[in-house]
Amino acid sequence: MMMMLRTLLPRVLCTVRGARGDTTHRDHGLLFACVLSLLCCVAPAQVYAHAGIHERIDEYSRQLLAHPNDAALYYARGELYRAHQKWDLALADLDRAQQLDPALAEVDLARGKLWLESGSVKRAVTALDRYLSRRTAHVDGYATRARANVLLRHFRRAVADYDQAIAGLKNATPEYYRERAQAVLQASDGSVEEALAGLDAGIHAIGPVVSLQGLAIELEQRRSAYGAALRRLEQLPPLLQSTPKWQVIRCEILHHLGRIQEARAVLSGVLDRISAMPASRRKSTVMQGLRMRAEAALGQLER
Amino acid sequence: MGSKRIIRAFIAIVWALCFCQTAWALSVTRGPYLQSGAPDSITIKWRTDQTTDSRVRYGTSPSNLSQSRSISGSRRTHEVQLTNLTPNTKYYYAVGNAQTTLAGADNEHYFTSSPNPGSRKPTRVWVIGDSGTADSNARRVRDAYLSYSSGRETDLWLMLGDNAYPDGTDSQYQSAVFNTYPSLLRNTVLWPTLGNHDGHSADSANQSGPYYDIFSLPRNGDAGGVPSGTEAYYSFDFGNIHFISLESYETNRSTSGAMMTWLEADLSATDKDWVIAFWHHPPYSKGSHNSDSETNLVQMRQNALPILEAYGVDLVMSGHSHSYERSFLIDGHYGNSGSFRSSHKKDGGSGRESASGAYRKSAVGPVPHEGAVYAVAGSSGKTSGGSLDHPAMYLSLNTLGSMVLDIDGNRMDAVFLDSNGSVRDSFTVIKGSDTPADPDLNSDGRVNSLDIGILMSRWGGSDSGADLDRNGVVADEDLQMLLEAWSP
Repeated sequence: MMMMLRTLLPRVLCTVRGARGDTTHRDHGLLFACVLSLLCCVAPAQVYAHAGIHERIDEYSRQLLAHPNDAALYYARGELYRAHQKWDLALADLDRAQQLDPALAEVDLARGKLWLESGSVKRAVTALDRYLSRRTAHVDGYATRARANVLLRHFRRAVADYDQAIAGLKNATPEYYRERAQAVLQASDGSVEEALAGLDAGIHAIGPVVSLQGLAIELEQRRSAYGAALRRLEQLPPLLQSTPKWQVIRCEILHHLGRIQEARAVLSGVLDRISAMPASRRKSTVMQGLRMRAEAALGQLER
Repeated sequence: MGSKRIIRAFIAIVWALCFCQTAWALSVTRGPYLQSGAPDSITIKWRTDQTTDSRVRYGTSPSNLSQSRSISGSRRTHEVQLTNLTPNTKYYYAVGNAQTTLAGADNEHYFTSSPNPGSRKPTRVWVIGDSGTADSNARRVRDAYLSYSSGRETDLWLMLGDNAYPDGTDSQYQSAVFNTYPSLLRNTVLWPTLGNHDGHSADSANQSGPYYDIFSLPRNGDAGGVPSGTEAYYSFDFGNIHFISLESYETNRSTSGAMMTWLEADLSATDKDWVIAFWHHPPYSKGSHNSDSETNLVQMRQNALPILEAYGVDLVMSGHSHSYERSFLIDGHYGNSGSFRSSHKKDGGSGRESASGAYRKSAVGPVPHEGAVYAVAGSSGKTSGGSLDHPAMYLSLNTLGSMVLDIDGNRMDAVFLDSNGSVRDSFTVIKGSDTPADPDLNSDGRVNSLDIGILMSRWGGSDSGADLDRNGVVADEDLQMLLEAWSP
C-alpha cells in the first residue's frame, strides 16, 4: 500500500499540475489531503480483499494497537479466532469486547457458538440464553440453542427453540423442520403425530422434498398408517419413486395394505432392475442390501 | 421580465434533466449472466441503474430474435426464465425493457441450452476456487484459461466458494465476479457453491443475503436431480454428467440432517455416466487449512464421502485452501491423514496415460467404491502455502490457477492450468473399456442377423459381450455399431 502511495501521489500531482497549469502550494496541500484520505479509505478494504484469516487477524491486531478500546475490533478478531478454532484467544477477545461495550449482544451469540463448537454445551446454552433475552427474534440464535439443547437431551426445549427459529424464517428450508421432528421423536412426551404435523408444515412451505417426506413416510409406517404412507410416497418426485430403494419401500407398504399382486409385481421389477445393473454396481453394498430386503419381502408375500 | 426568464430557464433545465435521466441513464450495470441452465430452460439475470420492466428477446440468430419473454413491473434486478427451449441449441439474446434493448442482439450474447439428459456431448468445464480477490491474480488466472480455451466454448463453469472477498457483499461480488468475468458470464451458465467468506453476509437457513440474491439455483430439481428444497445445496444434469453442489459452511452436515439425507436420495436416483461433486471445505487438505483439525473439513470427509463413494462418485472438488492439491484414485479413507494407507489407493499412479496410465473404473455409470479423485482448487485468486503434504495427494502445488475438465463419453481429462497458461497437472479417468467389443457375437466370422438376434436377446442387460460400446448397458448405440460392422 505504501509503495502504491509513493508511486501514485507524484503522478496524480503531476497530472493535475499539467492540466491546470500553475498550482499553488495550498492547492497541493489540499489535493494531497484528498488523495491521502481517499487512499486511507480504500486501504483497509484492499488489505481485507487480499488477506487470508491470519492476515486479517494481524490487521485487526494492528488496528487494536491504535484503538485499544474498540469493542467491535475485539469482537471481529474474536470471531476470526473462533473460525480458526483458537478457542482461548477467541474467548479472551469476546470477553474484552463485552467488557468494553456491554451493549454488544452479538458477543453472547459468538460465545454460544464457540462453546457449542468446542463441546461445552451447557456453557453454550447459558450464553445463548443471555443472547436471546436481548435479541428475542433471532433465527440463528434459536437454531443454535436448539442444537445445543438436543445435545443436552433437553428435547422439549429444543422443539420450542426450533419453533421460534422456523417462525422467523423468511425463506423456508428443510433443515430446521427435519431437526425439529427428530427432536420431537426423542422427547419423552413427543408423539409421532406431533412430529408429522411439524413435517407437514415444512412440506406445505417447501414441497414434498425427500428430507421431510421421507421421514414422514417412515413415521406413517411406524404408526401403521400404510395408506397415508403410500399417498406420501406417491408425492415424491417420480425420479426418486423409481429407484430400487423406494420401490422396495412401496412394496412393503403395499404388502401391509394387502395389495399382494401389486407388491409382487413391484418386487420382481426391482429384482430384474438390480440384475440388469453392471456387476460393479449390482454387487455394491447398497444394492446387495436392497436385493436382500426385496427377496425377504418377496418371501413374506409367498407365505 | 427577468424573473420570467429565470423561471423559464429553470423549467427548461428541469425538463432537460428529466429527459436526459430517462434517455441516457438507463443502462445495464451487472451482467447479463446465466443461471440454472437445463435442456429446455435457462434463467437470465441482469441489473440496471434505474428501475424498469424486464424483457429478453431470443432466437437462433442474432439478427432474428423472434421470441421474447417480458415481465411487467419495475425493478433494478431482473430475472427472466426462458422455457420451451430446444436442447443443445445455440440461442442469441438481448436484454432490456419493453421499449429498449440495453444489451445483446449481437454475436457476443448467446448461450447453448443443455443437452438432453444422458446424451453424450463433449463437455468442457472451467473450475475456479477462492477466486474472489478481484485483483490481477484472478485476472491472470482468467486470461490463462481464456487463452487455453480459445476457440472452444465453455459448457459449464463452477465456482468453489469464496467467490467475493472478504465478505461476499453485493459490491464485492460486483468487483470479483461481474467486473472480472463479463464475457464468460454472458455465455456460460455459472454454478456456484457457498464459501465461508460468502457466508459472512449470507444465511443458508434463510437463503438470504447477497449470495442467494445473486444466484438462482435449482431447488426443485429443475435442471435434473432430486429436488433439495433449498438453493444451499442442489444438483443438476448436463448430458451424461450429474453434478452435486453441497454447502459445507453453515448447513447441518450430520448424516441424519436434511442435506445428507437428500444427498443419498439424489445419488440413488442418478444413472448418469459421471458423478461430480463440489463444495467449499476440502475433505483432504494440508494447504492453508488442515483437514485433520478443522470441523467443517472433518465432517464433510466423515459424513459426505461414505455416501458419495457408496454411489460411485468420480470427482470431488473443493477450495478453501489456497493451493492445488490432487489425490490419487482413492476410496474409503475417512480418518485423519495419519491413517491414510496404500490400501486406500485404488490406483496409486499419476492418472496420466503417458506415465502410469489413466485411472480406470470398471463400468460407465455410477460405480461404487472403485475410487474417486479429490482435488483442492482454491488458488484461483491467491496462494497461501501450507505444508502441502497430505498423503492422499499425488501432487500439491502452491500455485495460482484453475482446473479444466473435458468429459467425452466414458473419458474425463482434467488439467490444472496455472496463471501463466502452463498445464501443471493432468489426469484421465476412463470408465468401462475404451476398446469396443467385437460385434461378431457368435464368432462365426460374419456380422449378420444372427448377431442382431443375440444382441436383441440381451437388450437392456449389461454384462454380456453384446455391450459393444462398453457403456454398461445393451442399447441403441450397440445396435448401431453392429449395423455399421454389417458383413453378412
